[in-house]
Amino acid sequence: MRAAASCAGCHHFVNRPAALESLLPGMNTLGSAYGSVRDSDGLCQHHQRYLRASCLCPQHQPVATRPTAAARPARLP
Amino acid sequence: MRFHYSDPSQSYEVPAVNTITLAVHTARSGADAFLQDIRAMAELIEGAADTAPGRGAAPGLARSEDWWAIFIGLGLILLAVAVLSAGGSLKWLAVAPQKWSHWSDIGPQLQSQAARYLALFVLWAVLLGAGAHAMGYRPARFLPAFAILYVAALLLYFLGQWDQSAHYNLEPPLVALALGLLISNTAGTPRWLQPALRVEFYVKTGIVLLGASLPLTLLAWAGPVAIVQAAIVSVVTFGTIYFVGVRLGLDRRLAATLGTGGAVCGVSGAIAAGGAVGARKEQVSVAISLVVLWAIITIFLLPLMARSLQLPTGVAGAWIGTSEFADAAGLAAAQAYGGYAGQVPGITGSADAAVTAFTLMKVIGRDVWIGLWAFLLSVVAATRWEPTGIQSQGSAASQIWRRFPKFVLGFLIASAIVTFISRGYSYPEYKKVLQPALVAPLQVLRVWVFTFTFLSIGLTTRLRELLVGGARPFYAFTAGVVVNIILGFFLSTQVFAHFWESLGQ
Repeated sequence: MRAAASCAGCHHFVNRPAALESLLPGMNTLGSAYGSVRDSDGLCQHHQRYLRASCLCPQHQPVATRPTAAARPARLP
Repeated sequence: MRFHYSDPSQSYEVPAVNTITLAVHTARSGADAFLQDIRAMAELIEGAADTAPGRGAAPGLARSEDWWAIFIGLGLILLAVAVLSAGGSLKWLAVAPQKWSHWSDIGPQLQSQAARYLALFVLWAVLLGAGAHAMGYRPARFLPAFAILYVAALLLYFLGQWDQSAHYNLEPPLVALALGLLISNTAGTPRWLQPALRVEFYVKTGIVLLGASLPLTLLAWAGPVAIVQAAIVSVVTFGTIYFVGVRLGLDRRLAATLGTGGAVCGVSGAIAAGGAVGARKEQVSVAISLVVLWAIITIFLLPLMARSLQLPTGVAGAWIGTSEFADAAGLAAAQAYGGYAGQVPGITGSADAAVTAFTLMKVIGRDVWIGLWAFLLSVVAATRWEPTGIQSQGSAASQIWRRFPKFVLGFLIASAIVTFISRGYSYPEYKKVLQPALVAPLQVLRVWVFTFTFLSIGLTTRLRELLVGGARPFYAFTAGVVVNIILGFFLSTQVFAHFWESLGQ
């Protein structure tokens, strides 16, 4: 279980696969952001570093809006 | 407007205005980074439409292409087993072009098999479309793009069946790659085609299917040799890139990211190491670019060198598995070389031996260790290198499993299933009954999905994007490539030559 203050819940952290593949050209050529190997790593737009989602730093900024149940992505039937 | 800014399984939605703030914030790190991020933000916003809640983006495990590769690969194998037990075979569905010698032979073939090709398209569209949908692609975007990819794969498959294709070096994997590179770097790959170009998704599915062709006994016999050879080459290659890089003045995090990309599993290795050590964004970009650049070069170079040396297919496959960086790139090279068996004078061995040796070396010998590499590097980075001001929480060791390439489990289970099914058969019975009815159709399906892979590699490679990072990272990585190729050649053709030559005999 990750602490609330980790990168996973930070405003600066990007780890959505489609966004990562856009931010890192070539990633989807012979690799992928959708694979197990990436785990949940992502890019910190504040530090400009590629980090594990469990990292934390003094500049952590919690995301502004928390999702409602309806806003969460739908599961496949 | 609202969209996901982080992985929906772990984070939350944020208002669009926050993303604009981020883009402004990013501008502090330089104009180039700002422009790149603006472009990425635009793509992110557009991409958000693909993954908007309620439109199919599934959370967590269901979004992982590794698991989808397992679902699809094992699903097809179990379907083949079920049909076989009912007295049938997937042969009708697993259609492939037959050998031809004149253009006029193609039309009648296509006409007589049209229903089968259409049924196969529907099968792939449903299976791969479901996976793509779970990853966030809208079916309305994926399916038309995939239809074009399927037609292109069909044409390439036909080309490979031309009785003169080996004479003119028209091996389908290499033609697919060259054609894709030409389109991508001249006219440009159409944007609407992008959703269907999922290299890793296809190659992982193909590797799971490949497991059905390899009995567990073979994996147990050859696996240890592959692991030993791969371990030697991986450690030496990593050491070369890392120490040359550091001597050239590169940051240790960049040197380690480059080293893992070159030594373990290409782009996947680079991003795993980059995340483990907390590399800077541009360092990960440089590593990805160099891996892709050299992987593309070696796809053509290694089969060419092996052919000029007339290496047996098993030996060449082991060399390619040792010296290629990426699974998809290596399979293109290995399958192309396997196509020379029986076609090019002096090249002995079976066509499958090249792909088998490659897979043992690359997947079993190198890929499965990426979690361990990431763990070790994260410990060294946290305890020995200059701090970044960012701390890591939780157990670093847990990433050994979390980063494990799960599709390898599918490969092993596929091998176990077919080994179990064939346990009551003598070898002649296996060749007469099980091979044509069960294994051969799965091999045909594997060739199809690998052809999707090879087309996707070329169509997603934009060479100008790879020419970044400067001279020093290039020199360090190239030093590793040279050492890797020489050492891989020595081990494959001298130390373990007899072993690889006898593979599949």
